[in-house]
Amino acid sequence: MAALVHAGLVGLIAFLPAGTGGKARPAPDVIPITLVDGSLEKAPEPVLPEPLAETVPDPVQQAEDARTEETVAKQATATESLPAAPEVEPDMPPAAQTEKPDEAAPPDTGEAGKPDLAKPVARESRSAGGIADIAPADAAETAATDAVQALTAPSTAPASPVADPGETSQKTGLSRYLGDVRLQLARHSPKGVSGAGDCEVTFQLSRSGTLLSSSVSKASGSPRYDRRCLKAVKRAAPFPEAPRSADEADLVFSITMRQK
Amino acid sequence: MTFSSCCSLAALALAAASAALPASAQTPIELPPIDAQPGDAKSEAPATGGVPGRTILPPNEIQSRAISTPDPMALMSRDPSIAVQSNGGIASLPVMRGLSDDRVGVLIDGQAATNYCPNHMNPVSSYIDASRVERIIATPTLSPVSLGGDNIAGIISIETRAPDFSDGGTEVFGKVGARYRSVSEGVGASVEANAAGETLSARYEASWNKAENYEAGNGREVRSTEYENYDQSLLLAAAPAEDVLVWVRFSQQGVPYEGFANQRMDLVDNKSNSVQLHAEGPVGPGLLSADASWRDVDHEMNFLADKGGAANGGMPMITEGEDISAKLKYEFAVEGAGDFRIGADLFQSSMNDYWPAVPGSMMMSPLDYININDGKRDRTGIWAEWEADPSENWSTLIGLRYEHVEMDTGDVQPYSWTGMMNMADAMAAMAFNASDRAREDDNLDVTAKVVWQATEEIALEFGAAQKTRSPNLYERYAWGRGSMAASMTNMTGDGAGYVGEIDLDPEVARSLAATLVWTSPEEDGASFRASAWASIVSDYIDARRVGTLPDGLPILQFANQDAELYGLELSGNMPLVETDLGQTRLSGQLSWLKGTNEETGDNLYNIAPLTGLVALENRKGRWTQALEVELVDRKDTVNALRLERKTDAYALLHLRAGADIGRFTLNVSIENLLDTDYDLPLGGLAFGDYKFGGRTGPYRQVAGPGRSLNAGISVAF
Repeated sequence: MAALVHAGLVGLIAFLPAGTGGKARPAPDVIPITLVDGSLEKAPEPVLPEPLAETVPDPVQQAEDARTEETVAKQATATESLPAAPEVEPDMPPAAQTEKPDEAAPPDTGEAGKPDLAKPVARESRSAGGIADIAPADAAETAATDAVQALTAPSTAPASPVADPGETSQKTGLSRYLGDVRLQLARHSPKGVSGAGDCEVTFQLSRSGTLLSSSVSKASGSPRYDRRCLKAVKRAAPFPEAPRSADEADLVFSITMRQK
Repeated sequence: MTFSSCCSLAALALAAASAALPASAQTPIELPPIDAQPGDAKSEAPATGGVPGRTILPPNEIQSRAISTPDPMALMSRDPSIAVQSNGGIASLPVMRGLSDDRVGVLIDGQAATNYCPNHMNPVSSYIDASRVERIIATPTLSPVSLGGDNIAGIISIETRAPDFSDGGTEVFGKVGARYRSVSEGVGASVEANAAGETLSARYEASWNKAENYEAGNGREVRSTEYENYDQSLLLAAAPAEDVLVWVRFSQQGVPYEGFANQRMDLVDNKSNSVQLHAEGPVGPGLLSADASWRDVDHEMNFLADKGGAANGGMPMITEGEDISAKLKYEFAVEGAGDFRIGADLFQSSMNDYWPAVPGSMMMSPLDYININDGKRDRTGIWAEWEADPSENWSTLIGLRYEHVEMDTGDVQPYSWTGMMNMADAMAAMAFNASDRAREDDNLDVTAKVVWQATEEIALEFGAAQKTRSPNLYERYAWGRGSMAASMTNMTGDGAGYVGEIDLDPEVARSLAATLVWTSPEEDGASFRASAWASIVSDYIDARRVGTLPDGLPILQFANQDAELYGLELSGNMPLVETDLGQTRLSGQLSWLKGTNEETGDNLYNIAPLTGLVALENRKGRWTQALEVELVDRKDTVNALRLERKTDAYALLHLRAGADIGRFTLNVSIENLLDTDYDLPLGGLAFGDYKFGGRTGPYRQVAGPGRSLNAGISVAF
């Protein structure tokens, strides 16, 4: 009997976080980004993708978020807006960002019109529910020009009904930061190699945007293309500065560099 | 502390550790994918000249099929418009819509080569190993004149990978591969190494293959099918400016031995060196490209062991040939009018073909038999082509090519001017030397076609072409009339002896063709393709009987006769089911054609019977597996003049599987799973078996290979 109780206890403790982490749960209304400084305490969100993503709202941040809430809400519909520069402050109103995606990232223009950029990326990383799920299915229509739109536009739309102002603003800034990181990579995308598959690279950044490490997490079958993808990440450095709320230990990213 | 309490604490600790792990592992935040920039220049086949009417064998298919054979032409046997005439292990000859051998233009990166051998053991495709081939494009019947002249069937373009350049710094990469084929104990290996900078690059490639005689389905050894070959090439390239590319390739090919199951002779040594130079860059409003090439061939025939060997001298036959060519092409667009291409070609062939005297032989001494003495075949051509899009759904192409061909050869001699055994040859040599042998041809090619994109799903290509080919050096100048000498010239594997005809005219094919392509709008959806074509060939170079060999086979002399060919090709594929086990597709194809000599009423030689292929392929990620059924009907429309043999219908079952595992690519297949015993419809007369058997028994057709386990692996670095 004791053994059964112990086993049940183990199961409850071990698996409950995973379940609430919601890797398999769509949780479209949640931005499960955990780039939050450990010093910022915040109440737990209703559903979190990771058990350690619990934070408590920062009073100062919350106040700022409240001031920008209205602007952020407007941004929810302004899908054509995107981060213009890596140095954008996390809470900077999006009105300051008017650069068109095609102009901002010429190498990335080939993606224009491809709805798959806005598709959820059904991967089991903690951000799979974050970045991917923040792009609603109908975002394909509006995110036809760049994936960054898929990052920024939906990030506020689904969040607003449930998230508090500080949370919303923080998410906006973080989403923008992620969009900037991706845009920086898109500007330095590798040259394709005939016959290679897609390559996934994992890399870690410092808060200031320095590349700390990079490695191929999913090989393309062509060592040459793998090397090009790694080189592309190195070429893209330095990356935008991370939001103040971001914890450097969490600045680990993965990105798939697709062969056309 | 009780035991249960200890257990509780341990369980809690374990659970806590498990819960903490995901965070400490720093699970990455996944960013949406980005696309790579366009890669190498030739990563996709050019769309020039109409897409619906052509077929492409892509790189993955080549890699998958190359475990069966290193011969690129043999890989094309499953193209609906192409059949393959058996020849040596790496020397298959193409038969495109019933028109064979030199009637098909075969190019390696746009470069032709002359087949310097009276048995045509040196086709263009024998100079490149399948491991070096990026793709093969077949453009039958309505091939644009810009692709090349001197053919009446169409063009098969064998393309290697374009020079690689880095996207920063210097890249070193390559691939090594090995393959095995059980039915012939065949082994092969290939290596490719690259050093690529941003503007300069070098690539070295080498391959080697060796195979014993293969076994037929009944376990019987098919004689004279063994071979060994190697080749290597060095490609140096520079891209000094945008849109400017210069490269030079140095190649060497060697064949220490190669049996020919349907010939009286075997190849006992072949060496060929070549240099190919290419430059392209913007000039004025267009793009100018220039090519130059040189190739030499040292080719020797004699008997391998199956045909008695050459210990007593055998019968050495030597061919020395040299190709020199140059091409210029300028292409430019005119606003509102379309794309224009103009060009000029020069291709010069020279050849000495002689058979050294065999000391002690009554028949083959005391002189060297000179078959072709300083033979020349020089082509000079100019052409122009216009491709336009007169409306949104219509595109047109019209091209005109003029070629001037000059041919000549010097005096010849038999083994003996006085010996009784050489009397027929001596008289023929005297007549030949007394004749005017210089010939000039003025050839005109026209290709006109239209592509109508009826809907997003349906495209129709149709058009007409006139294509011209002058005779080759053997067809005009093989002069021997004695049985032995005549039997040495044979390019069809039918056992007959052939005599040249100086007065042959060029053969001219006038053709109509149409191809309908339907493609489902769904991604990875179904597609269907149907082609119908007809050709009337004026002065088709067939033959007439002028004698009989001691073994009962005919002696023929090349002769111009009119011919007519027509046929249908169907192919398609469709997704069947998609499950967790991947996507399963069904594909199939069917080819049927007929060829008739309109003057004699005889069927043309080596017309493939009704042929079909049904394949069930399952693909999941980088794993592929397929079940294929190859169906070939009975061949009963045979050429009476050449005593062509009928062949029975057969069905072959093949299994194949492939996987890309990281940098490893694996391919495995079991061909002819049921070990069916069958004859190759275009295999020709099994002279190797016949001679090995002491020249007894009825003539047989060359049998196809029995069950074979094939495997190949390649590793990229």
